[in-house]
Amino acid sequence: MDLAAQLIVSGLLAGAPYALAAWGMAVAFANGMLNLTLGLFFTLGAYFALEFTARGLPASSAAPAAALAALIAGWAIERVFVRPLQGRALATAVVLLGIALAGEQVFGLVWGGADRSVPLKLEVLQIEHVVVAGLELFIAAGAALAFFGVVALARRTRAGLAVRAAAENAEIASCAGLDVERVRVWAFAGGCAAAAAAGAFVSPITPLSPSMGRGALIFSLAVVAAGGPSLRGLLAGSLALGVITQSPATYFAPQWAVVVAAAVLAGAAARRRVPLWRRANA
Amino acid sequence: MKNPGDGAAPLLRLDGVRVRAEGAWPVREFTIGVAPGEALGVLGPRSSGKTALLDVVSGFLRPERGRIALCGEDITGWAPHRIARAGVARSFQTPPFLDGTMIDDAVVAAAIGRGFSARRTRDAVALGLAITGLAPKRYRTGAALEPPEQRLLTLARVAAAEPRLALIDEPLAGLAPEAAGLVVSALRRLHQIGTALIVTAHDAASLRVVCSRVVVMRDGRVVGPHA
Amino acid sequence: MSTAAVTRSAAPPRVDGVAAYAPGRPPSLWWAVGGWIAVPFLTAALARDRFILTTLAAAAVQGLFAVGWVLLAVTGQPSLGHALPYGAGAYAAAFVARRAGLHGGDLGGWVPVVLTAAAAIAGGCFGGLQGRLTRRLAPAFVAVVTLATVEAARSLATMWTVPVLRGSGDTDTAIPLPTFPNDDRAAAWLAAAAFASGVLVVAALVRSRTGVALRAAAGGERDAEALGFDAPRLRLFAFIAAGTIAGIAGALAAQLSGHASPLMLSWQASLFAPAAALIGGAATVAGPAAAAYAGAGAAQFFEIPAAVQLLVFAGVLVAAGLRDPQHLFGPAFSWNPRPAERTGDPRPGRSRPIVPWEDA
Repeated sequence: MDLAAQLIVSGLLAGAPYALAAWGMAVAFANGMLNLTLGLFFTLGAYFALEFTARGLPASSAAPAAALAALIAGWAIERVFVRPLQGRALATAVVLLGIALAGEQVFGLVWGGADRSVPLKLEVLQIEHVVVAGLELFIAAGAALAFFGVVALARRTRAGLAVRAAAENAEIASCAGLDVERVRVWAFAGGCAAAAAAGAFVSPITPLSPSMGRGALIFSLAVVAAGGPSLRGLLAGSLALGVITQSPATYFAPQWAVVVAAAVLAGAAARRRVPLWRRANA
Repeated sequence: MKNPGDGAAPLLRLDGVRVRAEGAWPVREFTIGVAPGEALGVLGPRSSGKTALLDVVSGFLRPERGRIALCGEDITGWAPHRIARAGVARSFQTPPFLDGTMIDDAVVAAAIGRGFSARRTRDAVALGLAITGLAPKRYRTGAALEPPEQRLLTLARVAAAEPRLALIDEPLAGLAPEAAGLVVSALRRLHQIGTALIVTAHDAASLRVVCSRVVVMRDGRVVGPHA
Repeated sequence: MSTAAVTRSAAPPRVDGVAAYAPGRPPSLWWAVGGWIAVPFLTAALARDRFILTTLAAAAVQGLFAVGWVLLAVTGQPSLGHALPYGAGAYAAAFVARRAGLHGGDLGGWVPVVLTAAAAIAGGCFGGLQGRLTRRLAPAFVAVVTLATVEAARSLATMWTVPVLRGSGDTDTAIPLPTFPNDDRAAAWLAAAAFASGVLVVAALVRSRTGVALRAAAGGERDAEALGFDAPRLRLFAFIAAGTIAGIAGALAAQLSGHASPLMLSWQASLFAPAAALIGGAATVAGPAAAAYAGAGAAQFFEIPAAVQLLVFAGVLVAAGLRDPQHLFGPAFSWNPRPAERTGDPRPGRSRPIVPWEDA
């Protein structure tokens, strides 16, 4: 029982930053783009945190800084690479994947291919029979704050409404006077920013390498595939997936996290198909 | 109007076929028969169930209730490809994406899908291209076709399958009169070689040229034959 | 592949009543493919240097790997995870060898046959798994899900380590297995033969009635079913066939090099096939095979590091996607598309969220 509680708590805490990254994937997905550069921005955020702590800057400022940089870079990528593709899903996915891979090599050149780590330690707490690293708690809190902040932004502001309207039906939204292209580019960029913040949050407890974003990418895809476009589903999905991936990862070996995420992605994608015996729209 | 199924064995018979679908009228119910070689027009406004009728006959929609018989054989619940092989060809409202495919290849696919031998494939393809007049553009890709010709390509595929029954979904929608004329002649030629047709449309004028009998669909049901 | 060229050419000769695969190309099986089949054999016969011979063998194996991928492209399933059946084949061969207590050296006889057969089965199974998972998915999601499967497999493979040096406590992620054949020239010949067989099999398949069915399946499940084709089954068949070929390639690679390693399941290994297909020409069989052979040979000969290769593949993907997004990985893909054919129907933006499954 203690072990179960421990795993669940660890999983929830681990899932929190990834929920943020998954939101980034979801918002791009809802606007018709498979953002395969999410992992790249995730990694970027982590390396930002590395640089910040190396220069003695406060670690908590790494996330916002990374988010800002990712916002700008994401905006540029969407304008230059995604827009000319006119919504073609396969081409968008492939081009963004290519960019992500190229970015990984650049990171490798700048920061080297070996694992780095962000030195940041807080005390370990013990609540009942569950051991929680203060660091993890801090990270989860930060990520949760960011996540709910983003949700509030989406729900309560006009900009958020615009994003959701464009995601629903771009043609009608544009007839209503909404600049759909602008909404899409900011949705994409916002997603990248969220991923970068998530990467910064996760950096103290994860070994940093140029390809560390791949796991986050697959995780986010799995959450979007399983949890669906609704925010509630996203949150539940990422927390659940956090628990599911972290349990084998801590119990057996860290490699299992990616395996489980990929399995969830594949299973969810396979299941979520419109059956051939579909409903007619006459 | 003579009732179909009087005397001659019907080619297609739907009895109390009930289908659950999205749209304005969630439940469609069909009871209708088509004689061999007959051209039936199905008229009705949007969302009246015209496409649902074609879907259920071609196997893309499974009925909740009722029976569909093709030449007396019960095909209710058959997979679409099995029904296609049995001699039911159909076209869709949204045309297939054949940009990069050679037109000849696209028509050959229809014949191969029916399982024809090499010689019969050759003949069927020639037939399909002749009926629609696409033979001159035979070795060009789909990208070279104008929109009316894309409709004709769909019909060429239907014709090359040498079906007993052809289900044509709104062939004339959105076409200018000259283009519509080409499609109508192709449909007539298809009918003349003995293929039974079910053609759906919005307006009666276009149907009357091709079809000997027209029924009206309203509220998800077949209403009348319409003279 | 311009339409002008098509109308200029005479009616293409037919094979078994079925028009040839590539629109606009004079398509006789022998002529289009024959030239290339000879090259690996010629080079294997003429080369003298040991290093060159091993390079040629590796290049031919990579060519086999890529030519299997063509089957997937034909059915409209651009898998980015083709390294999974390849690596599965290599690991299956290694696994069987270890279970049988064979640890190294050139054993010859029936051993390579058994190992390769096991690899073929494993490749087919894992390819089939990928196919089963992506059976009804739209191309973009086929790409993403297959990529995820290969990443998962790579993760798992890194966990299987064996002490290579007995008693030293060292572990290595490369699993050793018997090498075959020991002679470098024989290796080059064998690889060339496997490559040639693969190209012929795939070309014949693509030009046959089954090939017509596979191409029809690429046009969308709805239209394929309406024509009389069982689309999901055809798509699965393509994955199993391509996976079997990849498994054989994996076994050959493993036996030629003497080990199976997680590098065979890397993204760089996986993206080699689609990149070669894009460079070689998407509508043919010989093109991707030739590009793969030449490219892999060059990479091996100049000892280009994996990171650089990955960068090249990424560049090819980005360039191809931007150049002709409408027909990416399809038979009409061209590096020089005409503007009208390139953008096709101009869409201001998607009017609904993207749909992971086949647009029914």
